[in-house]
Amino acid sequence: MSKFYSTISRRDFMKGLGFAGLGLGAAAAASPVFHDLDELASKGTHNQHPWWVKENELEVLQTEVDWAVFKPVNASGYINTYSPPAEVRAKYYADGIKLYQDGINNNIPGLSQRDMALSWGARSCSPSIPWNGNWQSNIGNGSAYPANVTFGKWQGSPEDNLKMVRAAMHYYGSPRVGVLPVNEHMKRLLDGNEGDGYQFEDIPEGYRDDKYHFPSSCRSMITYVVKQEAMQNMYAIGEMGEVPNDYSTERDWKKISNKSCGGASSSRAYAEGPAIHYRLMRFLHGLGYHAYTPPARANVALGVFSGLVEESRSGQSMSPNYGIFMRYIRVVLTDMPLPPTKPIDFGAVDFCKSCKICAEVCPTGSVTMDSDTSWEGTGPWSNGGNNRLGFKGWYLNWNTCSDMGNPWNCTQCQSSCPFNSLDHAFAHDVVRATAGVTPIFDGFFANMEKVFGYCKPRHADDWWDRDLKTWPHDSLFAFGTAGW
Amino acid sequence: MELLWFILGAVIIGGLLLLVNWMRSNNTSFTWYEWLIGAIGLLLLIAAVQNAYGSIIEDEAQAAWMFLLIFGLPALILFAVVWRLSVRRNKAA
Repeated sequence: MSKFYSTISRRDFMKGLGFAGLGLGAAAAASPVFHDLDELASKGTHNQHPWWVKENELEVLQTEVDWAVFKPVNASGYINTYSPPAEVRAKYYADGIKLYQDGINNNIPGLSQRDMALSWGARSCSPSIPWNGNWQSNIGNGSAYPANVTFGKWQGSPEDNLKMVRAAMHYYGSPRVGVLPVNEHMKRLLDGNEGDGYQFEDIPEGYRDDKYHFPSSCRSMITYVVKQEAMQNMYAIGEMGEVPNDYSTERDWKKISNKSCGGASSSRAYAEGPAIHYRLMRFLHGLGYHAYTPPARANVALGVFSGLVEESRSGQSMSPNYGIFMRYIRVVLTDMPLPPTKPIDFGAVDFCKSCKICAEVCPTGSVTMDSDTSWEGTGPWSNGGNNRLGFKGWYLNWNTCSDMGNPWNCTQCQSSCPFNSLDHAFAHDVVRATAGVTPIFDGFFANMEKVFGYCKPRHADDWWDRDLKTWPHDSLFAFGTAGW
Repeated sequence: MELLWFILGAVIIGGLLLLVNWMRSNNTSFTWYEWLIGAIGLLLLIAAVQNAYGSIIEDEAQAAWMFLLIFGLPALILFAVVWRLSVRRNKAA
């Protein structure tokens, strides 16, 4: 009978145990913790964010909310919309016409006739979506074959449903999907108070008269990101810190913001958004569920509460992946069972406290330079003016911003965010991950953004001459590749 | 980017093989800390090349040069340190 002898001493063995324990401890600390099987099952559907993104509890934001103050946009007795005075509107219309005419007449790079045609071509080529998506009674292949198939409601767990919707939406064109529960607080993300513009009722199907009537069986709102082409937008920007707040007579292309060559990116996103939306609604109908477009004009809050983004210093949606190079967040109301998704923390609010680049480059000073967040709105109106009060964040001065003709005449704040960076150089992900873990280096990273010379204006003629065989930044239909 | 990693891997492995071959033919060796300093230099060099190349794809020429400067220069300095340490030690021996 053979004997086995260990060559490991007791001391080495105990040391090994120590290392093993240390390793197990580290692994346990780094691994996700699940409280029950439902949470474990749902985790697989929530993996759309990088590892450094933390989840808060439902309705807990990095920009704290006071529900006693936070009201819906356009709630009665609460001013949330701002129309510039007629003379201001007339001035920036006249300025805009002059600017564009000069661009055409003088071939200003980015504002020449071909640049304007590019943006014009990208704009508005989108379906007109019925508010209820037009109920589909046939999900066969049109009128050809197979004719009217019959179907009921797709049966799946809420977690599986979310996974399925995300899979479909990724194909339809949206990389990030969240879910809001329809409850008393989340209804405040819709326009006006319930009973004013919309109503949830015990009805089998929604209808519209002077207001929206939604079935009370619709308990979820699907939110999703409509991206914007980051590189294309760089052909819109003016030199950071050099754009005047009135450039109606400006001829230097580097000092003009939102030039049409780059503006094509937002035009295209606004055209693509409704198409994605209609696809989602038809998909939900095809699965036997309702799909409605509720009235919700303030899109940032939809993304913040459903964990797609945090709110940035400039008041825009800020994604852990895309920074604020996104067009908007859209929403569809449905009765499909879905699990609500939680708000996220990827260090954005802390980063914005140190960074301030968007405020530094704002031609009108509308983005605040205050380091810390505040409960106070800004602007000359009562009740916070155009700001929706009730959260501790940064408030944009829409008066000075829109007096310049914005948000249509300028894209400086949106373009300047360090989180916008593409992901080809891996240093960007290192910065994002570090900022998600600790705010210690936030100020350093913001300074490096300037030292490295990011966000320089691009000459539109270079864009027209780009090598189409190697240019990786266009959104080509039917080619795929999700990117970052 | 996949092609870059492939080329980088091939160049590094080829370089290490050449280095080992040279060490054998010259009867030279490195101490553990010289290997460590060299490995750190190699990581910095990889970071410099990858980020510079990525920045060119991102159409950020200034950033590409900055990455070469802040990662590439320390890498070269560390390689020079290893070389000097090794030469001095072998001379003393």
